Amino acid sequence: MVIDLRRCDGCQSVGKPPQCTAACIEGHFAPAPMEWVQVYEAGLPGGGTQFIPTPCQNCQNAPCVNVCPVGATFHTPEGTVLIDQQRCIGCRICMEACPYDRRFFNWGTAPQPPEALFMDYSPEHQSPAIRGTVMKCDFCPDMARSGRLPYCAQGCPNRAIYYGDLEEDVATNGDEVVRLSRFLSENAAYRLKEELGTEPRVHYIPGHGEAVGRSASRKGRKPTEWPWQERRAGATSWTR
Amino acid sequence: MDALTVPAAWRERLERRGLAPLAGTSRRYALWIAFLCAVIAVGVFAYVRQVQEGLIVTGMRDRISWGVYIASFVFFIGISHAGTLLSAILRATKARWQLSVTRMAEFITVVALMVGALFPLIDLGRPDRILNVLLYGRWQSPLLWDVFAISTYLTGSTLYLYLPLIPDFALCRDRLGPSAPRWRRALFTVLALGWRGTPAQRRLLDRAITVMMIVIIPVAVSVHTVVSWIFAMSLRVPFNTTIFGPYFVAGAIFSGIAAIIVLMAVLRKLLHLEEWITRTQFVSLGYLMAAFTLIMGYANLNEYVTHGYKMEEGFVFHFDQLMTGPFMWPFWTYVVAGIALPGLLVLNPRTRTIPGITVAAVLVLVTMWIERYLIVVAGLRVPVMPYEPASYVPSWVEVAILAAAFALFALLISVFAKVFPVISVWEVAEHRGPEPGAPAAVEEPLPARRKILLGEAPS
Amino acid sequence: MRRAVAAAATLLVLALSAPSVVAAADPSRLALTAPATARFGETIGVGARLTDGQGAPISGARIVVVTPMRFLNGAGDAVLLDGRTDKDGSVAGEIAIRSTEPLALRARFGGDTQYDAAEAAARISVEGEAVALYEQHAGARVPMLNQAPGADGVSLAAGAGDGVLGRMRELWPALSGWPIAAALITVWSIFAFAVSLLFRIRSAGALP
Repeated sequence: MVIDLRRCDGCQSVGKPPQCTAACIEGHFAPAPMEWVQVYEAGLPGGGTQFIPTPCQNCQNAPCVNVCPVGATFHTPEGTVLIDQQRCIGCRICMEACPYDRRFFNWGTAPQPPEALFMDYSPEHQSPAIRGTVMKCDFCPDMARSGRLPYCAQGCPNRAIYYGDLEEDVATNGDEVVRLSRFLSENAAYRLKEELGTEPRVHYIPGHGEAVGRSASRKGRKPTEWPWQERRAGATSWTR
Repeated sequence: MDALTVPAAWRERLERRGLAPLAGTSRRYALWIAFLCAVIAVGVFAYVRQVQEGLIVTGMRDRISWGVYIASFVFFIGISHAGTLLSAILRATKARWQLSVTRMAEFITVVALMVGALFPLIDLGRPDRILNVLLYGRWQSPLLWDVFAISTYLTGSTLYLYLPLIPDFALCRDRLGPSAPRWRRALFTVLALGWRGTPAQRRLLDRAITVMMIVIIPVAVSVHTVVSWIFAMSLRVPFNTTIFGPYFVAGAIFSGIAAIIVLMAVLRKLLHLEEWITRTQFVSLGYLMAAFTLIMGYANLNEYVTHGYKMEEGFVFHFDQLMTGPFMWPFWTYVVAGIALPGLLVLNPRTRTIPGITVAAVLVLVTMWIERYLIVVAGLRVPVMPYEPASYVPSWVEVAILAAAFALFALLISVFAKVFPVISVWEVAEHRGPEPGAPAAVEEPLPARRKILLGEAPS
Repeated sequence: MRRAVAAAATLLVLALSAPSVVAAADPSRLALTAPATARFGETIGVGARLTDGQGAPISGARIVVVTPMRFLNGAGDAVLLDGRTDKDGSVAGEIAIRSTEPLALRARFGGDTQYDAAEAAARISVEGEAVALYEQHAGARVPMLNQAPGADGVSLAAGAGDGVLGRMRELWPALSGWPIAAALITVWSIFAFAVSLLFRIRSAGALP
């Protein structure tokens, strides 16, 4: 995955909460307060801010996979890091290990819409949420199989999120197709906390939304919303 | 080892005193047990709530995802090192002064391990899936190392508690009065393994104790090292340091010494063991504790100076929160009351008394729990991404379960002290002899109903 | 600096795509050189040369080499090379062959105030089996002892492999963690020895 920060304005221009997060929540029934792809606002060296949409980094040397005592977190053959919530024992050592704060725990019975309860559970979409287990962004492997982009990439109004395949060296944001390796090198892409050696599979192209007309000094984004706060019987939400 | 020649009256007194707690219970003891059971019941109720509602009833959330439970896990595993230090390390160096308290130290080890090992289980989001650890266990996970190390250590220290108990079980068996309940006699007969003190048996027992004494030391070191590795294997800024293994081991022995001093002071008073546990034991352990305040201070200095000098990104935050921020009070309490004050109390001749050293040990125990809490909670609070730092306040469920754990610890110690001799009678008699500065022996008459059990000396 | 370059590039693209207002431009000719066949996984050299009607090299002209690509619901021309010709009129670059599909290349010179636009195409057929080229290097690894967790998919048992260790792993996959197993076996056998001494104490105490 490549995220072009030059095109991310935190959805200031559309005046909504970040649409990647919103689409992810809609698609995965991600329970509140989980933002599997979360748009952080970070300061820039010369003042002003940039927005950093942060999905699971799908590290190649994934600390969470290394420390899981029961192998509930694993690499698929394609390399995606998934969680088997039917095996997870809820020890949360993966949350301690993740240096990107990308893991979420079902502390109580998660608020989810009733339709989530009718889904067949699979680690690839993680619905319905299981109390006492860890969840996170799954890179939408089921969507890719049916030839669609992940929810976040589809939801992005500025087409800032590219999704691709390291094997075929190709990525797309739905509009254009790029040669992945060339796209990364030409734009001096970087990865979060490169120095930790986690080898993330999410790359960032530096920027602060300038390609879609955002000024770095325009701060703040709309808070994320969950449409189904109370739609599951006995559900309780919590804060992170 | 040649047995010492000791006065027969002294030995008789020792045996009587050593076995007296086994001979009956007082109303005070029954009330104490009832109180502990009540505290445990509240904790069990809290845990039932937690199972029903999920971990939402705790104060933990995604960003500070470990709290009181894991801190207490580290704390209890830490004090379990009391037994190893006293009975293994000091026995290996042929020290003799500690023989009268080795049994207590080994109690602490076994009981603290039992209680400590409960905490990761209590902390689980899905305790119903605990068998997955056996079915799908991955040796690459630090948690599995903990499972291996703690089960090994618990087995080893139980065996090591049992070995020096064999001659004392034989003593109990032989000295049981005729009216003792039949089950008690049967229990001691089985546990004494037909011990008659023959030279062949002594040789074998000596060998077994030596073997276990040597093997238990590296096991104990490994246990606390892998406990520290559940943190040190993480990339989070305050955890990502090489000093954690030795630092945790030092902290474990430090709090273990404090635990044995406190237990020694309590049991000495309650069971009237003043003749065998004297200032000698307190001062020797006090000096050890003072030495460990220096080691702990040195380790802290190493950690904070090497990071504080460079002030890497996350450490600026970590330092602020510890030294001037929300964790200022616990942190400085630890430094002052946990490191400086206990050392001074022991080193100052005027406070180097049994009460003074006991106060120092209580301070160390309390502040070492705080220290574990700071490692877990303050460590996890350092933001790893640009978000507002989270906050964590233990809920009533966590407090109740913590209280229940301490009550369980006390309960198990109390029961052990009723069932097993709290002094290694034969070792004190054969290898230590009368304490040099012991108070003049006062032959207190045993309460009447205790005489029933300890009727007469064996013929 | 980077932004300045980007801005310049944007201007350039705008300039290139603007309809030419100069009526009579010189013709230009673009030649694309690429091997006819390539092996899967190989990196091949690709070059393009731009000349004017007389065959003289045109320098400083922008050449873009693209190939049509498709991924999920995205399709379009992906840029493989993008450069300016040198004084010899050439640009050169390397392309990694990452697919067994024949690779259709299209080079394009957009034209400028002096020269007309020009295009050239080439087709590279690919030989060889598709194998996994992308190798993830993951996990806590002890060299020769264990594979990365999950490297063989959902099953987390380490692969067997050759030699004594491999056969041991076939018996018990978790044996890939044999440093831990060895330590545990050592300690537990010492425990067992101590327990055996207990039995000997018992028999030594038996009355004759």
